[in-house]
Amino acid sequence: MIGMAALGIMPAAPARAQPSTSGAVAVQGDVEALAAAAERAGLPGERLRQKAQEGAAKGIAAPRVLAVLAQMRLHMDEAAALVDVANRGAAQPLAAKQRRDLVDAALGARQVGVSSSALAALANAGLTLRRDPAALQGALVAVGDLVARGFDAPTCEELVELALAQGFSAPELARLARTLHDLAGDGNPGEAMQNMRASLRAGHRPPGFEAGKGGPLEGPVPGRARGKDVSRGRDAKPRPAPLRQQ
Amino acid sequence: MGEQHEQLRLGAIVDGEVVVDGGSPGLVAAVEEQRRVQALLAALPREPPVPDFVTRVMSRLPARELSVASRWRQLLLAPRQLTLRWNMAMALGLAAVVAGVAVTGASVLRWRAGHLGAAQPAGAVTFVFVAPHATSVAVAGDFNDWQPAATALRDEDGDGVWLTRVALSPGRHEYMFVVNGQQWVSDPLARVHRPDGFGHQNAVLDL
Repeated sequence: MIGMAALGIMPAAPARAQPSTSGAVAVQGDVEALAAAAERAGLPGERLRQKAQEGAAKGIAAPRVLAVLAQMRLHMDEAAALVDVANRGAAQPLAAKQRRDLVDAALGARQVGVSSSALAALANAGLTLRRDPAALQGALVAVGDLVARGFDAPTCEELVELALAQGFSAPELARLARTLHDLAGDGNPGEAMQNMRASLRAGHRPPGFEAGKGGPLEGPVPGRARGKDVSRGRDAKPRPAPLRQQ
Repeated sequence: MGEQHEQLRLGAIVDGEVVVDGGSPGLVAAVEEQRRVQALLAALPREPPVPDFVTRVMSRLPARELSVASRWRQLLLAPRQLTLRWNMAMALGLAAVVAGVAVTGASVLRWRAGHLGAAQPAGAVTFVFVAPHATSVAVAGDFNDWQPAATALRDEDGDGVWLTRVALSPGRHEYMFVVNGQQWVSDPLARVHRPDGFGHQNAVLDL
C-alpha cells in the first residue's frame, strides 16, 4: 500500500495541477482498487502501485496516472490471455507465480512497443512448442531489452523467436540484448543484429552463444523452474516502504 | 722508503700505467726482467681447472664454527634441490590437498564477502550527472520509491559534475535525475531507456 495522497501534490512539480487532499485520497482509492483487482486475477498488481507512486513523484496529474494504470491493466489482461492460450495443452497449468512473472515480462515488452502479435508468437514458441515457461520469460525480457536499446521491433521479435525456437536457454535469452550490444562494440549495432539473425536463420549458434558458453544452464530443461534466473529483479528487491496517507 | 717507492713504480710500469722515463739502472733492469717473465707466462698453454677444483679447495679450508641460530637459519632458508618421483598415490594425495585448500579458500572468501557486504555492498553504483548551473541534483528511481529528494548527488569541487554512490540490490532498476528539485531529466549516459508512460524516458540499469 502506498500513500496516494502524494499523487499530484509532490513538491517535485509545483507548477502542475495540485488536486486537493480529498481528491488525492480518492485517487489513492482508485489505484488500490485497480491493483487489488489485478491481484485477484493473478496479475502483478504491485506493478500498478509502483507506477502510481512513480507518477505521483514526478508530479503527473492524477487522471493521467490513472489512464496509464488502466492501459497497463489492459496489457496485463492481454498477456495473461496469450499465456493461458499457449499453455492450454500442457499437462499441468502454470503455477500462479510463473504465470504472474510471465505476464510481468510481457508487460515490460509491451511498454517498449513490442506488438501483441509478437508476444503471441513468442508465447506459442515458448509454451506450446517448448513447454518451458522460464525460457519464454527470458525471451520476453530479451525482446523488450532489444527494443529498448533502439533496435527495430519486428527484427527483434524475429530474432528472439528464432533463438527461442532453436533452444536457447532462459539465461542465454536473458543476456541476448547485452551480448548483442557488446558484439557491436563501437561498430554498427544494426549490422551485428543482422549477422546474429542470419546465423540463427542458418541454424547456427551466433557468436557469444557457441556451445559450451553460458554456464551450466546451457540448453533447455523443460519443466524446470528457473524464474529467478531471468527475473526482472523486482521480486528480489525489498518492497518499497509504504507511504503514510496524509 | 726508497726501495718501496721503486717497487711501486715498477708495478706501475709493468701494468702499463706509466712509461719508463729513465730511472736507476736497477729499475730499468727490473722492468725488463718483469716483461720477460710476462712474455713467458703468456706463452704457456692454458689448462682448464679440474672439475672438482672448488670442492677440493673448500674441503681443505678449516671448518667454520656456526652458531645455533645460523644452523637453524641455514636449515630453514638455504635453497635445496628436491627430486620427486611420481606415482598414482602421490598424485591423488596432492590433488586432495589442492582441492581442500581451494574449498577452504572459497569458504573464507564467502565469509569475508558476507561480512564485508554490510559495509561495502556488492551492487554499489555511482551515479554521475553533469549540470554546471544546477543548484541541486538527485537521483530518483524504483530503489528509493521515486522520492525526488531522497538521494542527493554532490558536487564538492564545484566543477559541475555531480556524483553519488548508492548500494542497489541485484536486478533491474529504473531511474531519472531530478535537477533543482523539480526538473526530471533522463540520464544521457545510460545505455538503455524505457518510456515511463508519462512522456519521460527512464534510464534502465541491470545489475
